[in-house]
Amino acid sequence: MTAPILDVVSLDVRYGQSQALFGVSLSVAPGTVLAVLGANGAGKSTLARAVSGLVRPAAGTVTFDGRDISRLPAHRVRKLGLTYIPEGRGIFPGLSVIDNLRMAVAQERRADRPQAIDRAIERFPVLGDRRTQRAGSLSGGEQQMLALARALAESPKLVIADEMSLGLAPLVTESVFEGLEAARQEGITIVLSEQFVHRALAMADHCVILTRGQVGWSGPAAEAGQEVIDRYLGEAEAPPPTPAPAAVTAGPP
Amino acid sequence: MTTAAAPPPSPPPPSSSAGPAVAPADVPPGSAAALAARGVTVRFGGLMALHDVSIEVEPGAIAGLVGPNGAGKSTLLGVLSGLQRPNAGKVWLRGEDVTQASPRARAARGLARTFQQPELFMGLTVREHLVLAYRARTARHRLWRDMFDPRSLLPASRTENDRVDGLLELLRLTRVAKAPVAALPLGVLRLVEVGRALASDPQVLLLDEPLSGLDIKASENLLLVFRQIVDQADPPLSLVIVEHDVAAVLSLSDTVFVLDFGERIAVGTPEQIRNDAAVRAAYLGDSEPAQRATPTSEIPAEAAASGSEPSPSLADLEGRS
Amino acid sequence: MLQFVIAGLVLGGIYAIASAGLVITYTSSGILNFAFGAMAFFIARFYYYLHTQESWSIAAAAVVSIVLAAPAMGVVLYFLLFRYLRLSAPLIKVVATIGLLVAIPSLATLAFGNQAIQQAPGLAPEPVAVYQFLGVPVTLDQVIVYACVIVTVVAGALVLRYTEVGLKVRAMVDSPAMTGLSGTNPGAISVGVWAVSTFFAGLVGVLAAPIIGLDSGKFTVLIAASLAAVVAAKLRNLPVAVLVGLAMGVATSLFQRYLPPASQWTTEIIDAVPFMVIALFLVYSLIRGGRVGDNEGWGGVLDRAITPQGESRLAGSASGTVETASVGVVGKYAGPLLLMVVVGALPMIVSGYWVGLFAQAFAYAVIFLSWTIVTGEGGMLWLCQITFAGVGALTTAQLASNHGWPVLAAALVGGLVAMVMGALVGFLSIRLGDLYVALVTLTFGLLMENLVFTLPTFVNQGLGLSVNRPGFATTDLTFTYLSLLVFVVIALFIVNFRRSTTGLALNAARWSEAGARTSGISVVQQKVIAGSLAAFIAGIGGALIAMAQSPFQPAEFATFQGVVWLAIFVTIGVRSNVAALIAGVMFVFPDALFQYYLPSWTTLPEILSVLFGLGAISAAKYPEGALAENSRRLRALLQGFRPARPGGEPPGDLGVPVGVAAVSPAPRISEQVS
Repeated sequence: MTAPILDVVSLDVRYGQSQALFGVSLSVAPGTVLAVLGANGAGKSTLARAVSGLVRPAAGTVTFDGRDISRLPAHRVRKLGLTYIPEGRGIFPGLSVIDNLRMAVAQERRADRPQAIDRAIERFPVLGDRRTQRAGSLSGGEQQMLALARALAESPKLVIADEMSLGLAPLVTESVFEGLEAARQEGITIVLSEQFVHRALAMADHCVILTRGQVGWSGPAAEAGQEVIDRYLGEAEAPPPTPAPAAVTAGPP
Repeated sequence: MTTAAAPPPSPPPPSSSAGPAVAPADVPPGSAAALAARGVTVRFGGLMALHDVSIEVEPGAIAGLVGPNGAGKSTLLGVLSGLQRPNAGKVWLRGEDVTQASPRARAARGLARTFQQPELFMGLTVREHLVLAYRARTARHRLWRDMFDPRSLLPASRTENDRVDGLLELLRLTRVAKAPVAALPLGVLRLVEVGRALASDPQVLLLDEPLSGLDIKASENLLLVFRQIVDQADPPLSLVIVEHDVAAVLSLSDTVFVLDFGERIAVGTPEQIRNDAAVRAAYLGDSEPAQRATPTSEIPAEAAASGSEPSPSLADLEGRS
Repeated sequence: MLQFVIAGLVLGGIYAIASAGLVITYTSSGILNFAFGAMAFFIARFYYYLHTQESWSIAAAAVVSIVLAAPAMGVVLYFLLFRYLRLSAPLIKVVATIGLLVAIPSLATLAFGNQAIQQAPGLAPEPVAVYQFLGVPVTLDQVIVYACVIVTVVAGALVLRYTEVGLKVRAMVDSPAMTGLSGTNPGAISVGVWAVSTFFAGLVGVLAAPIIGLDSGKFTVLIAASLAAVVAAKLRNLPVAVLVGLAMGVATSLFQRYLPPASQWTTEIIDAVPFMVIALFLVYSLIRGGRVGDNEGWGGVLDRAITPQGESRLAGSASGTVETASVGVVGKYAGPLLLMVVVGALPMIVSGYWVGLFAQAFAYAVIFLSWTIVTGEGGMLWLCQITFAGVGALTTAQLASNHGWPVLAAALVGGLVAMVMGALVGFLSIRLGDLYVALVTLTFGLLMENLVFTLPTFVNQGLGLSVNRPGFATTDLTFTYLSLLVFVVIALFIVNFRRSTTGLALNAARWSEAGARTSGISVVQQKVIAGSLAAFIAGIGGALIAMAQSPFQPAEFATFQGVVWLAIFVTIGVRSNVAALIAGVMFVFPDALFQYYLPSWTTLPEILSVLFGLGAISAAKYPEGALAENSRRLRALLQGFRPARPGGEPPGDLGVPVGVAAVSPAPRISEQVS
């Protein structure tokens, strides 16, 4: 087994006095897709924010590409090749489409930037027609494509996509997933947090289920089917009415 | 659990699929409805949060409002309570058009609500929340006259004390009545919000994710409380409950409305909703009955069961109530 | 006509640069810099020191002060203060910059000497050359102002629009968190923005000094005028702010052209131009309806999600409330009562001069009580309490001395007049949000100070106004106890107010607008009630001051002085009545004691100002104030090893099902959009 590109060990996160994550551990192998699932408020976004450096963890370590990034601020993490698309459109709504892309490639060498922007527009041609439009006035789907274009413009090693399908129509969701799929083909590791369970599992290699800030279950995505539905729709602590494997509901490992 | 004063036990609207709105948007609904909204549309910039959504709640009935993340449930509650102005559509409270009314005016007409992140008053104790809400509805003059009256230091009227203490008892908050809310855990805070809402003697109560962050025991308790307050209410109290815990909503509600992508995709009795294909698709992310993206091998059973058959998971949830 | 437009563009240009400096720091870091004028003054004073006192050449002095020292000041303040304020509550941000506003002018005096400066040279060599432009005489100083305005506006626009740095600044304005996620260090951008902003401040200072003189008060007025442009731009719109700034300058100049030059009214209308701009904006937004909403004005959704909510608010934070609750009745009232008795007994022990000082201290304490209500309870920052005090004092003097009213009745009417003004100011500003309340009250104070307090009737040829004390309290001792009585009565009223339904409703309006409105409570109504009550109390306090130190000058009620009072009060604590009493004593006595025993120590008032300013800045760390902080420490010390309970009640046996009480801590942030 290859060394994991992302390794999270016993991560605790607090917002003020309330704790949002309790000893979360997970690891992602290079080139794979990890689905992070869980009910609303389970801590998916918190996990992503802590890994990407927006929120400083209270305890635990995050190792990315062999480097401890637990204490690094967000911009340093991004420069190492970890890109986070936050929930609810990872764009600058007040900037034009082209300025959004220019911000995304601002770390590249000056000479390489035009090509990087061209590649991003090639990936999502609809953005090319809207270069000067304010990103905030794009439709939800276009905003999400812009977010994805921004994330992929700089050839990251790992992309964390948080609830990309939120509020998108099914057809649009589909093209967003196609974008992610293409990224995976290029060898980019993807961490996916998604409410559309089946869609996420269809793409993922591994799956982690968060319940109330803890890892409730983790394993290969192929084995996650029934487990996910029990936990996701029926609130984790529900006594399983179906003959589900008892070990699985027993709580965090 | 007996239905004491509650009128129609379960008034099942005819259709269980999306369909067009029941009536044209500008015709006021029958004044029988405790709360009604027609053709509500809300846009946030380029995002359509709600599109032509209608709901109607009978007096004494419990309406559930479910849907995936981002479906527009909380936005709809905002429109109903007056915190969010709709771009189109109307809202009626007991037959009266309140579309233009402020949240405060709606509260005065008997509408109360809770919030997903409790919106409490950090400087006040639990009991003071209830007292304040009670007086805001029943003794408005006290809101400005009291400060000149040294008697405000003395105990309040008997009716007020009875009502407030009764509610504290009902919600099992008596032991923390004198504690400032800043020191209390989330589960208790949710009860305080419910208590504050009830203290204003509402006829319609909107509950925004009352169970989120609660464990199973607390959730069940709160559900019992909801059932109890609806059964005991006189005049009748209607509930509109937005909740992620579909099982809880199905077990509690008389009518369930399902939102997805800002549109109402289904409405019906819990039984009808459980068997609704569109609902299952919305929850599991299967975009359309005809699958475009074929899921991987491990979940064909559920994905294929898109038509008539109830999904095992949704059917099982029924057993929880 | 043209002549006046050209002249107006000088003042307008200075407004424009200042507005630009204010807007860029507000949009990029959420801090509205009330100390901008103080910074401008500091640099202008530094330039004067180098150029005039140390005889440096113009170029060298300008480069060192404007190009080097000014940005350096921004960088230093960023690392010492602003970077920690980024996530603070809006009120804390305002208080911290107010602390700077108080401290910086005194620091300038300490650093560069306190000599009176009659005439400050500008950037043009003396004697200033005069040119003819389209038949209009234009001085080189004016030409330099035009050049600076054009260069800053054009260069600023080009940089923001077309350069990478500009792009990053615009991105930062949109969302600092997203900027970080894009690989750009938001902190580095912030330092740069602060450096540019203080550079603008320095430029404004040096450009304005020849026009308005080297007087920190004048600078505050100048910046308040620029704040009007910022308000009209809804705090965020840079082009609008610049244009309104220019337009205000031209309007001022045109008024000078078309109104009768000799009339008293002309000067007053000219002084009132900024306030008229704000008033127009307020009335316009009142008609338009809806909130402008300053609290959501900064950053994006993501920034709010990762910001700790509801913490480090000024006064009334959760910990403080819990603290009071756990002490019990005896602990709650014993300390304050003891202190009241001690302070109350002091006037009996001391004699002569000192007794009179106590009368003043108690009168100030009454004014401070107005902040106990409006800030401590209402969570708003009103910057014109001294103006209300002045209104109370002037009304009392007019009615009692000129119309023969009984002085106490006159004082009551004085309080009522202040109350009406408070209600009006509150009604117009509160619906727009807390930041606008601070802005509007500051401008209102300056308007009253320059427009009303300077009327000949009040100034009385420089003799001031005198008020006779009530017949039964003419001696210092009796009057001192009358003041104390008034203080105690109002303090008891506040205690009652807190417990009354009105107080509960105000608390509701303060802590959760959504919760209050959906519970049937009007947020604006409750806050206006608090504001007008506070204005009434301040008016009564002002009347007491008038009686305590008659005769008095209306100029004693200068808005800037009121800001110093606020700094003192915030330092000690805005929540409790006792803090008001201590603040009153603190304001009067250190100064008087040193003047009496160490009259040669002339820099003492400046040092005190600096300390009070630093005290207000420390509110960022101890929102409850020094009093609460120290009593907490004292209590912890006294309680020794007794383990402190976090809450008022142990969460064990609550009568609530265990599941409810021991709920899992959900994150405060919302993970949901719908």
